[in-house]
Amino acid sequence: MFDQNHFVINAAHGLIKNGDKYLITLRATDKNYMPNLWDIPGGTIEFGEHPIEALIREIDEETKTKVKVGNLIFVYDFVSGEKRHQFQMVFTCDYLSGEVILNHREHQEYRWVTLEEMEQLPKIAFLEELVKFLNK
Amino acid sequence: MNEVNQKFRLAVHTWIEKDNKFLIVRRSLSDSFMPGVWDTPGGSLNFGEDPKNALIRETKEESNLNIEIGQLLFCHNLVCNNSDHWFALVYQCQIVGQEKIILDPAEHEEYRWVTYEELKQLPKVAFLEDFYINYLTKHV
Repeated sequence: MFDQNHFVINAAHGLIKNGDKYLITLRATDKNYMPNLWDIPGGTIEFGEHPIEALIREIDEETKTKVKVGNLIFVYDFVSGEKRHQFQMVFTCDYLSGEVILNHREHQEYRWVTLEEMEQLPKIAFLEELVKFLNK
Repeated sequence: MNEVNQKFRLAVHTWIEKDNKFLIVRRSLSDSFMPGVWDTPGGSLNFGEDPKNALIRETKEESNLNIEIGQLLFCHNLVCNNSDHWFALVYQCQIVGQEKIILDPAEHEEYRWVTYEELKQLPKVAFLEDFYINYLTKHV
């Protein structure tokens, strides 16, 4: 049964494509969770918020770019501690417009890379799994 | 901002195709939630459960079918009573082994294999209505 003390956290992430390249961001050095690893834009869905609205909001906050959200392609989940289950949903996105402007509290650098280049870089856990999934 | 009684919940659903028809199940008439309305095999996750394992478990419990899970197709979003925020993930699935459907009468009245046209006409649970309108009509 569902225990009210347990909680679930959901995040939406965008695999933003422009030509044959994808936008990746390097997490800030002072992040508590997984600093200095490559990530893709996105973040936590607030209660009541639609995943796609959350994704557009997070992409705007983190990169200032405009995208068109496509399909949900992948869900990564993990349990941390005894009470927290986190889900990360990944949607494909087409890059539309805007120069990438980072929020430096969140990220120190960005790159547009091919899937092969992404494979070689040190990545946050769900992105490692996403790259394996895309290579299948 | 975050109230203690507000929870995120996850559900998983199958989308099973055979000869251009799709498997749907009709919710029990004695069910408190949407009785008599059409659904697909699936259900909610136990805490910490892997979504795919939950889908295999629920499908077996509800229909006796063993399945293999394919592509993730859709996420339905539903907020209930300002207390439960549901995400329902829909996966393309294939039946493996013997196709002998046995329903649990406490949960379902009947099952059918239907075409898109037939599905359109039937009363559907919220996720299936959303999936029909926002996925199937755009991808078929």
